[in-house]
Amino acid sequence: MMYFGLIGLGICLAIGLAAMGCGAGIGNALSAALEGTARQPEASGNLRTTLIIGAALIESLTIYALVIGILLLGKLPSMDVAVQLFKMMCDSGKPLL
Amino acid sequence: MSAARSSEMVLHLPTFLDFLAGKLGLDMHHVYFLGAELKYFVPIIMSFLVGCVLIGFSMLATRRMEKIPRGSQAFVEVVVEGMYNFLHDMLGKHTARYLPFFGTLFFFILVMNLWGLIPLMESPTHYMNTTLPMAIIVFVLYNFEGIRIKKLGYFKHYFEPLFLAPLMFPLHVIGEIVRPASLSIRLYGNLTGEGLTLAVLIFLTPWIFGNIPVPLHLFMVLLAILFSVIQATIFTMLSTVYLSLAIEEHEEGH
Repeated sequence: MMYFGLIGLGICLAIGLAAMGCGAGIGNALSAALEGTARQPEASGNLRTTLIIGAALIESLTIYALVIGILLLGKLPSMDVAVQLFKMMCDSGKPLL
Repeated sequence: MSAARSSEMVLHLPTFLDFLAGKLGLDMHHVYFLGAELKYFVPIIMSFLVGCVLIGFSMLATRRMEKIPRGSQAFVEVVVEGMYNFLHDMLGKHTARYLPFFGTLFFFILVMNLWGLIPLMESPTHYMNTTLPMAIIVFVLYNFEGIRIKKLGYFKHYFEPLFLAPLMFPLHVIGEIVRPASLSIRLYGNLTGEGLTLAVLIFLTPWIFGNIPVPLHLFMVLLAILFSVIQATIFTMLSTVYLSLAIEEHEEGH
């Protein structure tokens, strides 16, 4: 059971940590783009295109974490199997890894 | 222990092939054809349909070409010219040679991404089976063209800071291998996340509203259109950048 618990924790942590870093990155990019637009409004169209493409590139790092999450999700048992495992653990009286 | 694998890890909306298989009494997950489960043929059939639509449209648009373009021919000309300008920033004088490849790549990916928004259809890009081959084709293309144009000099960039060559060579090799992997995983992950959100919202609607049809997923459809266009652009742009890095003439002393 510990094994599955750690997998579940790993999925949450992977996506959370990745989103944290990417959020900081996109924030930086957005602030720089806003500053550029404020200083030079005529360049806004060019900046917007670059910003959207850059944001998608940064965002894809979080998507990698999502893919890892989906892969790890495949390792988790379905509900009835987990219940059976839990019953086995209770019957044996020993913590089941 | 061998935990029973849940049948589907990623939630997929039903396609018309599912209904077809249900009518014929075939179980998509346990019936084998040519050594693979039937569900692996869904993206193949879908991308075949996408290819048919694209080829059909372009043949129809250019069937009777006129000097002064009208209707669909004008549309196709605008599209091709826009693609040319987009590629010209990065490829320069090589643009005309590579325009067909990257144009096809862009519109194939774009239509495949948008294909999942049609009811009873599914994006082939929800599967790694579709995105990885495309990334590998791009990988082979830019290596091949680099060797064709620069001959053996192409391999020089593997040893770039020459005094650090033994240290840098493995890093460059890893960097090369990561490129197609990151290209394909980016496309696959984005589209899968998008499709997953759509499927979850659609399956959630009857739980909240019962039998009242409420388009709960409408905002996600609008976002999905935006993401599809952006991801297609990024895939094309990154492969263009890789190609232009591989074939550029390197000037000494920069």
